Order: sequence, then structure tokens, then C-alpha cells
Amino acid sequence: MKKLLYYIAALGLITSAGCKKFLNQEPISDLGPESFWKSADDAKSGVAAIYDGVQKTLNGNYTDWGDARSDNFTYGGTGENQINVTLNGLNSLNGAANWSNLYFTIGRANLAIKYIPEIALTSSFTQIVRNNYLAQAYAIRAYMYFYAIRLWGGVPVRLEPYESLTEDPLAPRSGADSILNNIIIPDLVKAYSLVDKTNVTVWEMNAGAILALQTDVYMWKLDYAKALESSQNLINLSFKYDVSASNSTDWKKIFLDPANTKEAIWSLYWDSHDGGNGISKIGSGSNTSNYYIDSTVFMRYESNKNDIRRAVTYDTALVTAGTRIIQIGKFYPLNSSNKVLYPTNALNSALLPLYRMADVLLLRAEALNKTSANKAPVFTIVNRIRTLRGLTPLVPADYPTDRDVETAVLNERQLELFAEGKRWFDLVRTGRVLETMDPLIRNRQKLLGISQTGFNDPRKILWPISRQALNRNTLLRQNEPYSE
Amino acid sequence: MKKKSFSSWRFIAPPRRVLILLLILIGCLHPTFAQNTTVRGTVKEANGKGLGAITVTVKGTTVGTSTNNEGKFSLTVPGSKSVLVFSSVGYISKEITVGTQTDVTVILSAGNTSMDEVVVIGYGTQRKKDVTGAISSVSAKQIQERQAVNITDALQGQAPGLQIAQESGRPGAASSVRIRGIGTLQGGADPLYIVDGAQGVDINGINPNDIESIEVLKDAASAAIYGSRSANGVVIITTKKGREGRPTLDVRYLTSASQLSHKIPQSNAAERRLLDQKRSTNGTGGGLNTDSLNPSFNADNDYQDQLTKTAKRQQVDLSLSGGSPNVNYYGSLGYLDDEGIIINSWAKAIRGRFNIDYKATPKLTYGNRIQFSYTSENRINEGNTLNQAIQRPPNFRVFFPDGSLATQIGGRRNPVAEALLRKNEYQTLDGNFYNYISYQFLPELKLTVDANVNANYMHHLTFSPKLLSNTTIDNDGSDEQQWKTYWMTQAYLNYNKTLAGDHTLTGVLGVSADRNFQRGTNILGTNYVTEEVTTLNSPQLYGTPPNTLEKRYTSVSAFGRLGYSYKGKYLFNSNFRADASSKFGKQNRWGYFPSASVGWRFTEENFMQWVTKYLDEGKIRASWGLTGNDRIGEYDAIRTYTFGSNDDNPTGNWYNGVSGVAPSATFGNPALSWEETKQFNLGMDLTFLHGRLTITADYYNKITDKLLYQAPLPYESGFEEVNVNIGSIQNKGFEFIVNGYPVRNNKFSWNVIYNMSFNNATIKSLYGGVPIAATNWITQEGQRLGDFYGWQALGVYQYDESNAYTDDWEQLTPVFTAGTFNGYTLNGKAYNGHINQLKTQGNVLKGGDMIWANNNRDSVIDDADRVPLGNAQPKWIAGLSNQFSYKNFSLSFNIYVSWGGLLYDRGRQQLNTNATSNVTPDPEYIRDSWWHQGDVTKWAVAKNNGMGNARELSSQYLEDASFIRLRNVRLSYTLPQNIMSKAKMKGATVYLYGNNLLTWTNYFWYDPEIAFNNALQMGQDNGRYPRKREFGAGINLNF
Repeated sequence: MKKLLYYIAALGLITSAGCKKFLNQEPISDLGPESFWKSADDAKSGVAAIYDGVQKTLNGNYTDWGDARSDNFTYGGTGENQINVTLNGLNSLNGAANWSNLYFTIGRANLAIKYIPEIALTSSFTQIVRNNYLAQAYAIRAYMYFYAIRLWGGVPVRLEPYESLTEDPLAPRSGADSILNNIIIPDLVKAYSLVDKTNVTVWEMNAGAILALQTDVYMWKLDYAKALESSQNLINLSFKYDVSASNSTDWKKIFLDPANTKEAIWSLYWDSHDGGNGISKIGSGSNTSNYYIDSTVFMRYESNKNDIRRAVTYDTALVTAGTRIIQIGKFYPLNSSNKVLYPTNALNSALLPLYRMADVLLLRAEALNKTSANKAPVFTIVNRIRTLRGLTPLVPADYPTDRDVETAVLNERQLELFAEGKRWFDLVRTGRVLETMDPLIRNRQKLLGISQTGFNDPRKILWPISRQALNRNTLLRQNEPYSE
Repeated sequence: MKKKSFSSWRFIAPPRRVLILLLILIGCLHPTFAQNTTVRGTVKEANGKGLGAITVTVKGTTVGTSTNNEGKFSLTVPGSKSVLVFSSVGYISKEITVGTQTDVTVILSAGNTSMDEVVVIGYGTQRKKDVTGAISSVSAKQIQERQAVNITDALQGQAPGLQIAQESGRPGAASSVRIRGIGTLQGGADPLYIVDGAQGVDINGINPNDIESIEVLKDAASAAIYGSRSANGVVIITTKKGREGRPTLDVRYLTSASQLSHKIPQSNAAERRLLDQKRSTNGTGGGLNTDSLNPSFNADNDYQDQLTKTAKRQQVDLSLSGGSPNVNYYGSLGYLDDEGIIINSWAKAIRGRFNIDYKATPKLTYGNRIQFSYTSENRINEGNTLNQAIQRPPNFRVFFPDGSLATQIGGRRNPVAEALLRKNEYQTLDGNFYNYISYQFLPELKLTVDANVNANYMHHLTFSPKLLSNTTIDNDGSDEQQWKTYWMTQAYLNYNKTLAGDHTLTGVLGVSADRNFQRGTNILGTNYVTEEVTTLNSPQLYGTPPNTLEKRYTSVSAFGRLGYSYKGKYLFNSNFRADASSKFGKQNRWGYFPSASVGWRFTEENFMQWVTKYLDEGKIRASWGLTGNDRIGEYDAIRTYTFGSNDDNPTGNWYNGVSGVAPSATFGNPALSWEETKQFNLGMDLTFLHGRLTITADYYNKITDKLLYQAPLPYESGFEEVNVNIGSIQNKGFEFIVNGYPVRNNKFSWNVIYNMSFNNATIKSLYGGVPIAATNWITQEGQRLGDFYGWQALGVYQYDESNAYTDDWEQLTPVFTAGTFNGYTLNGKAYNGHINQLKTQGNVLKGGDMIWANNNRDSVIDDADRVPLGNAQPKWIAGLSNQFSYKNFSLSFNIYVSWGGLLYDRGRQQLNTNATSNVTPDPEYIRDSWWHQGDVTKWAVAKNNGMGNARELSSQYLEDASFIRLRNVRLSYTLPQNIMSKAKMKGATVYLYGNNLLTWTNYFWYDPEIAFNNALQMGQDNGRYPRKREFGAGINLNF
């Protein structure tokens, strides 16, 4: 009896002593929060995750947000979502209305902004290196908020990482202007002060990209003087970004090999590690695309067959054969017989251009038009690009009013930056959505045999807030006239 | 050391208290050590035939044995005052005081006294008589009637409160097993399986023929001995043991043929032409191929015929068992070859078992249970075969003229090529080694120490050749491997003592610890150097980086049980368990799970003797208990940074050659703790007419609190969701089983068993009150679990002018005079007021578009008009089994019913979206869909006009899931004994059987039986692999 008691007691003691250690199981294949943000390598991989966030945010949305609703594309292929997007029939269940990845990217940037300053400096992790990482985090955060205000107007703001459940995660929407003035612009100023001006890596938010984004932001704010200042700073950078491509091969390099052309400022890197990217929506190895090139812009390309951009943008042999163009090939390499090699969706690794010199120069032309009665500098920029791309220069006399000049600049932007996520924002910025889209949408409705209501409501320029986001944050109010 | 034990004091305090209590009790009793004597004996039937498998126990102790095939036994008993209890299923048990006898002969008389059966409960057994919880038992005999391929197949419809549904009809498919509803959202809803006392055994590796009995512990009081893992109920499986006597060799063989039980209507080429005509703008069929000589387009295929076949099943099992007074053994080996009814789908399994119990000394017993299985399977992808077959235009080719398989045509896959050429092979090797040692310190006290080790290796290879790709130049594949190990060790004491005849005390006290480890690797490749070799040295390109993942969890427990019975009349049982799991936050690791139950056998009372003329046995039971659930991710309580590929994020966080490190999208919550289920159970067991009729009925109320789930977080926080344990679900239900012998005599007997269960699960509360909205479901407070959420379809606008409403959104009726529109009427009267029109997707609805209920009464149909559309939970389920025996013949059949609940027929919905031109709707849709102004129909225009006519979820595709199924029929003949003895055999049985023979249902697609895997997404049929109708024959030989 005593023996038995002893055995049981011993067993109990061993069990309880070993118990605590036995029960402490740390993740084997992941990291705990206390083990990260300690070294230079952590800064590198933490910032890589921010870029990964940009990839996930723009995967597909690059097209849906920047092009699909504009006069660049119409619905194609199968499925109803593309009809809703191109006929202004958005609702809060559209996938592209969901901003989750955008805020995940902001969350990653917030972590980097909080923790990178705490990482100790070393001989290789110098102040310059540390600041350059911080600059990228600030600028990408600004880039994400800039997308958000252009798409939804006011959005909730979060500048600190969410790290404890005791903190209330709910926040109401802040005004779009307030975000522009108090977050985006200060973040960009801060980023420019921190960035390593010698870094010209095209895959990173470098000094040129910060200035290009600044130009874009000031244009959106309609602050043309500041836009001119930012773009001038970009032109003055020692790297000397400039437009130069005067043949198809060189122009194609912007998309296939941006690291080796001074036309590209910031491109989004993509390879097989990242899975397929959403640019497949306008052309891939699949037998169909979500969006087809709209006939109006197609006719503008066709009206000048010398344009070096035409043959790169789509397969002109199909045009000759009378086949409808359903794929955009500009982002993909060519085979030996000059045919575009479309990858399968899962392996689509197009390198998405985010900012390039032609974009900034044309924005500058737009600002010059707004700030001066002298239109010569505007046409200097436009015609320089036209001449390079194989077109005849425009004659200023054909463009008597400011608005005509603006149209000329926007037209050039459309052909130069087709399918690069710019056109919709150009139309919104210049207040041209209704006049451009209403007739097109009426025509699409006619083709589908449904009522011809046109663009219908200018309030629908803004996207609806996703139902998922509304459910999760009860302080959010839906954009009118979309249903709450 | 001292400090350490001090800090753990509070964790072990409660079990230690129980221990002390038990030791005091033992101390008080001063057991006398009487001289052990050995008693031998024979147990016989009234006709003098020896009875095997009779349990012989010394009353009030845990000492016991069972008789061999000749009815002989031998047992060491503590003294002359010992009372031997002889009991077995189907016989009235008998008690004999040993006295001076050393050789006893006992005659047992037959009777269906199921109350004398012994049931296996956690860490011990109990007479059914003494059970105070809700436990259902399924015997080997009931399982044998089924010809089941696995355990879940054998259990369906056999026990009340147990809801089993197969995921699909493919060979090797798993089933969902739910005991008394689903009481958790994401915490894992499967019951805990205990096989011969061990946890962590792969139940798919068990051959149903090796099972002796299955017990289902349903209420908390029974299950709470397994504490933290028992909230979903416990299924205890006991495998066969050898019996003393000459070795017995059993050989079983069966073969069967199966077919698709029914085809679903599919459009033929003429109907497809009608569709093209309806879709064309001029009504003549613009894009219609009229080239009758084109070999690719003039076919009219019956894809369901081409894709399915008559499937064969072959199964052979061998088992050898026997024993001597000191050792018994049972070994078995089985081979199963099960073909699926879709071509090229198959599953094969080899399953083996070896059970030994060895009595080294009268006090020391050692035993093991060794189980291994090897299964291989080619799992056909239903989406690429069956769904494609139903959707594909019937005139598309399957073969080219040269006999080779056709590629994709017009974006539609070739279902036959998909089935034949796509590899999706699984191989699983599973081994389970369980050992125990038990030592009988005293006649009433036994110590058992055991250890169980499980190892499982899974290999999954996929390959899709070029021919299947839409480009015909790409191939891809993957190689996935998983290695799992689990060990558990337990030590426990059993105490069993009868005092002064009236007081019986039982007790269990023990501790256990376990650890689970898992490692997984997945490699994907494309562009194979040759399609002949599909191992992962063949790809020339490795897309996503390889993914390797390791996880581990541990837990420790202490548990105890105290049982007391006074004169077998008043019964009391109480369980207690303390568990700690590594999965929870450091401050919340321990969970305590108490339970108590009482029973009153009122027929034992003197004042109730008047009823005993009819009622042999009557017992009322009540129980309450707390059980837990810890089935969440290993590291859900830890905030993690992730990188590389993983299941949630297959492409990792790569950027420009750097593997980004980012917080997991799910916020780890260090406050995470146990999910707790409180259950109250009230039950009654009645036995009438000398065992000819027994009734067991139970009512329960089960409330799960501190629900473990991933609650949505605002995206703006940078996270998708957070692991929480907040919220509550209630399951309430009633269940009963009636077992009767309407006829029972020497020649003929008829046994009927009917069981029925009602259960309803409702949500009591959720995190922050925020409803969980999955695409087609809504889970919200105060509502039932499994509510479908979407738009209510009211019909189709007859004319363009039919989209007209008053200011109160009452629909107006357009009037046409000689074919020209001429104003509106409302309720038969002319209407001249303001006219409103409904819009959707930014446009005005017209003739041929769906009419949706405008629930928020604005001018737009959008997601704000969604409402709950009904519920997926069945109202009740029932099983009816019948067995007739006449002389050597036996006929049994079994009916299973699931009544009520809706099922989302997504297979059909996907057919009728018109989104993809080559997806061909069903014939009814093609014929009846709206075409011209004035058409009255419920099917919208057969075009994709962007007006959301096919939006998900539409009430149009929610169908009644009720069904009644003739699940199995078996006719068997046992060869007469005299023939057998001439052939030197112990017995032989031949039989014919059928499974899934008839189903009565109104459901449109293949099968309304659906697995309930995800509590948040119940009842969606994506077009699953159909269940087969099986006819077979078999023979069992015993040597």
C-alpha cells in the first residue's frame, strides 16, 4: 500500500515538474513577434513584405481600378462581373471593391515605420540604409492611401500597427482632402528627405518614384505649381530619367526590361514565386479575356499605323485578318516569329509599370497648360513624345482653347499609357468621366438589349465600399447612392 | 525543484484531492486478503450446448474473464465468499456464490435482457443497468449486416443522436460524423475516437469486421472523462479478442457490382440547338454550326454514360483467433479493392490487426493492439469530370477520328480525358502500436499503464498532361508528403468494491500526456521533361517555391471517476478531468471539466412491483457535465510572422528574390482558452415483456460557450480575422430508440429497431454581435445555424412593361389591347398613378429578367435586399432496421431517413448562369426559359445580359433535402451444422446483399445526402460524386 502511494506520488511529481516545459510549444515554421525586427536582414524582409502587399493589392485591381471603367476597355469573354464593371453597374459585392489587401499593405508599412528605427546600426546597416528602408515604407503607405482616396473618397486612417486586442480596431472614415493634405503629402515629403538619392533600382520606391508619385498627387489636388516643382525635381535628378524609345523594340523594353531603360522609374517586380498576376484579365494564355480593347481607342491606334506603340500593344496581324482584338500583348515577350507569348494565368509574371517618365512628362504638360497662357512648352513635351513614337507633331493652332490642349495631352497619355492603370484616374481628375463614358455605356447597353440608362449618376464615380468591409467596421457609411 | 512543484500545485490540486479521497477510502476499508482459489467451470445453454463469449466477473471487482467456444472458463477468485456473475448479450445473467466449489456448471437461459449487457465507458466498463449517462451501443452483429467498407459507413442510422453523411460517393470518401448536432463554429466538430482505450488511432485503418462493439458517449456526463476533447461526443471502438480454446480461422469473401443510381436530365444536341437559337439576336441561331458533315460537331454524346461504368468491389478478410488460460490472440488481414462508378476511380486498402493479451502472473497482464493499414486511391476531381460532363455541349467530340482523346474544345474540358489522364493519387501508410500493462494489486484495485504510438505517412501525387491544358502545350503536377506522429501515455487506477452487499463503489484515477507532430512538404512543377515520368525530378520549371511546414502540440491531463450504487437501485457517477493544452495562451492553459449523473431504477422499488408484470426494467437518468474542445490550430494563441509558402498564402510574401516576412492575416490571441460545452441530459430506459421490447429515450440541452472561431476584424487593422473564444451555440434535441421482437419463437424471429433524433442548433451570441457572412450563408445571433442568405426569386418579368410598381412597391399588371401596351391595372382596377421601376446592376429590369423580392423597398435590387432564405439543418433523422430469421435463413433491411432542411443545388445553378456560352443548361431550363414578350415562366432569359439573373444565392436553387433511403438489404443462409461437421468446419454462411437500393426524394441533382463539415457553410452541393447502387454476394467460412 505504502509502496503504491509512493509510486503514484513520484509519478505525479515528475509529471507536474516536466509539465510546464512540455506544454510550451513555440511555432516551428513561423516566427513569434518578439523574434522579428532585430537585424538588418529583418528590415530587408520586412520591407519586401510591403512590396508583396503592393503586388497583392494591384493583382487584378491594376486593371479593374485604373482601366476597366474607362474608355480603354469594354466587357469581354465570360462572366457577369466585367459587364457590371464596364457598364457602371458596380455594387458592394464586386471583388475589386474590397480594400483588404490595400490595408494589409498599410499595416506592413506601419510595422516597418515603427520598428526599423529600433534596429541597431552596424557597419553595413548604416543610417543611410536604414533611412532608405523607412523612406520606402512611408512612400508606399502614401501610395496606398492615394489609391484609396481616388477610389472611395474618404477612408479610415491607421498610422500605427494594430498590436493588441485591447485597442479598438474600429475607425470611421476621414475626409479625402484631409488624408491628402495631412497624410499622403507629409509622408512623401518625409520619404524624400530619408530616401537614398543614389538608389535607382527600378523595382523599388526610389527617389524618382517618390517625386513621380508627388507629381501625380499634386495633379490630383489640382496644385499645378507644386506638380511642376516635383516633376522638375525629378528631371533634375542626377540619374537623368528621360523618354528615348523611337522604335518598337526599345519601347517594349519599358515593359520587359525596365531596369535597362531610363524611361522606367518604378515597376512592380513579378516572377514565378509570386504566382500569376491579374494582368491576365486583358490577355493571357487562356482562350478569353475579361476585358477587350474598346473600339474608340482601337480606332485611334488604327488611324496611325506608324505609331510604334500600336504593334506592341496588340497583334496587328489579327487586325489584318479581320479578327477582333481580345488580348493586349504589350507586357509579354515575343517569340522568334514576333508573336506574343502569352503565359498561362498561373504563370503570368508581367512586370507592371507603376511610374515612368512619359507619364510624368505628360502630367507636367497638363500642369503647364493649366498655369500658363503660353502653350508652346505643352506642345514641346507632347510633340517630343509623338515624334519619338513615330507620329507627326501636333500643330498648336488646331487646339485653340485650354480644354482642347488638355484633350490633346490626355489623348497622348491614353495611347502612351494604355492598360497601365492610368486612364480612369485621368478622366476623374479632369472631370471628363460623364462626357466620355455616357455614350459608350449607352452603346454597350444597346448591344446587350437592356435599357439605355448611360453612366447615370456622377456619384458613382466613386466605388462602393465592399459589404465585407461594412460588416466588419460598423462605423463605416456607404458611398451614396450605393446601398448601405 | 520545490519552487517548480509549488508553481504547479494549483494545476494538480484538484486531481490530487480526488486521489487523497480515494486513498482514504481504501484505507478505511481495510480489505481482507483472503486466500485465492481458482474456479473452473462450464457455461451451457438449456439444451446443454456450451456457450462461448460469456463474460464471467467476480462481483464488485474488476477481475473477470470470458468463456471459450466450448463454454469453459477458469478464474482466480479472492475467496469462498466471491460471487461470480455470468452475463452476455441475449442471455439472462446469473450470479453464483463460489463457496467450496472449484468446478461449476452454469446454465443460462436466453432472453433479450439488453440491460445486462456490458458497455465500454472511458477507462473501464459498466453494466448497461448501471449506466447513468446517454450511451448508445452498436454490436458486431449490427455492423456485420452492412458489408461496410469503413466504420462510419457501418454506423449510419444505427444510433439515435448520431448523424453521419458521406462527403461523396467516390471510393475512399470520408464522412462527417456529428453527435447531437454541431456545437462549434470552427473548432472541429468530429467526435473523439477511442480505439481499445487509445486516442489518435486512424479509424479509416480499422476493418469493420474486426470490431466487437462500438459505444457512442453522447451526454457530457459520459464524455467528460475525456474532458477537453469530448465536447463533440466520444465514439469508443472495441476490437475483437481471441477466446480460450482451439484456434478459429474465419475466411470472408464478397464481391459486388455497382452502378450510377440514376442519371440527371441533360440536354441533347437538339436542345442545345434550341438554346443557340434562343440566344441569337435574330432568333434563327446565328452561331449555330450547320455543317452536318463536320465530325467534331455532329455528335450527340451521353456523357454520363461515357463517364460512368459498372464498378466492381472485391473484399477478402482472414482472421485467426484463439487462446489458452494465460494468453489470447486475435489477428486479421483484409484486402479491399473498391472501384468507383466514374471510370478510373478506385481505392484499395490492406488492413491488418494483431491483438494479444497475456497473463504473465495471476496479477500481471500485458497486452497490445497493433493495427496497420495501407490505402491507395485515385481521387477523381468531380469539377473537371462530372460537372464538365453535364455542362459540355452534347455535340462536342470526346474522341478524334483516329481514336485519340479530344482536347479542350471551346474552353470545355473533355470529361473522359480528364478521368483517364489526370492523376490525383493518394497513398497512406498508417501504423498504430498500443501496449498496456495492468497489475491487480488487490481484487478491487487495478493499475493500468499504457502507451500508444501512431505514425502516418501520406503521399499525394498529381499530374495533368498537356492534352488536358487549354493551351495543349503545358503540363503541371505536384508532390505532397505528410508525416504525422502521435504518442500518448496513460496511467490509471480502477477501483471496484461492494460493501455489505448494498453499497457498490467504483473509482478511476489517472493521468495522461500526449504529443502530436506533423510535417508536410509540397512541391509544384510544370513543363515536365517527359510525361512518362511524373516524379518531381521531371519538371523543368518549379513554379511556387516548395512548401514545408511543421507543427506540434502537447497536452497533459489528470482525471478521475467516482461511482456509487445502493442496492443497484440508486446510482451515482461523477467524472472530473483537468486538461492543459499547448494550443492556448500561457495564462489559460488549464481547463477543468466536471460532471455528475444520477440514475434511479424504479422497478427495483417495492412499491413499484405491480408494474413488473409488464415492465422488467425501468430507469430514469439525469446528468449534467462540462466538456471541452481544443481542436484549433497549434499556434492560434500566438501572433506570428509568416513567410514562404503556406496553406493560407501559397505564394508567400516574395518580392524581387527576397522572402518577405509579414504578420499572419489572422491575429493570434494570447487570451485564447477552452471552448466549453455544458450539457444537461434527461433519459429513460425501459424493458418490457421479458426483454421483447426495450425503449431508450433522451432529451438534452447542450450549450457551447466561449466558441473558438475566427471572428472578422476590420480590414483597416491590417488583419483579416482574429482567433477568439466568445459566443455561444445551443443544441437542443430529443432522441429515442425502440427495439422489439414482434415475433420470436424457435423457428422464426423478427427484430425491429427504430431510432429517431430531433436536433436544433441556434446561435446565442457572437463576438461583438457581428454576424458571420460567408458568401451564401449568414450566421447571426438568435438565428439557427445554417441559414442560407441571398435573394428571393419571385418569378420572371413577363413583359418589359411588367417592371412597374406603385409608390408602395406593389407590382402593377400591364394591359395589352390587340398586342399594344395600354396602361396598368392594380388588383384588377385601372391604375393611373406614378409608376416606379426596379433597377439592378445600374440598369432597369426588363421582360425575361428575374423578379427579386425588394426587401428594403428602394428602387434598386442589390446586396441590401438579401434575406435569410431558409435553413440547411434537417428537422429529424431516423433509422429503421428489420431482421427476420427463419431456420437457417436471415433477411435484414435498413431504412434511413433525413427529413427537412434545404440543400443548395449549386450544380444546377452553375449550369444555368449563361455566363459561359458553351456551358449548356439543363433541358427544362432550355425549353422553358423566357424568350418572347409575354412568356410566363420561372426561368430567366437564356442570355448573359449583366442583369444578375443568375446571382448567388437565389432561392430558386434551394431545394428540399428530405429523403428516405433503403440503405441496405441482406439475405443470408447459414449451412446446417451436420453438413458443416462433415466438412470439418465450424460454420459457413452465404449471403446476397444490396446497398443504396432505393431513394425517395424531390431533389433534382444526384443525391440529397450531404456532409456537414463546416458549421458556417452547411448544405451546398457543388455536384458531388454520386453515390452508387450496389449489388453483391459473399461467403463467410469458419474453421
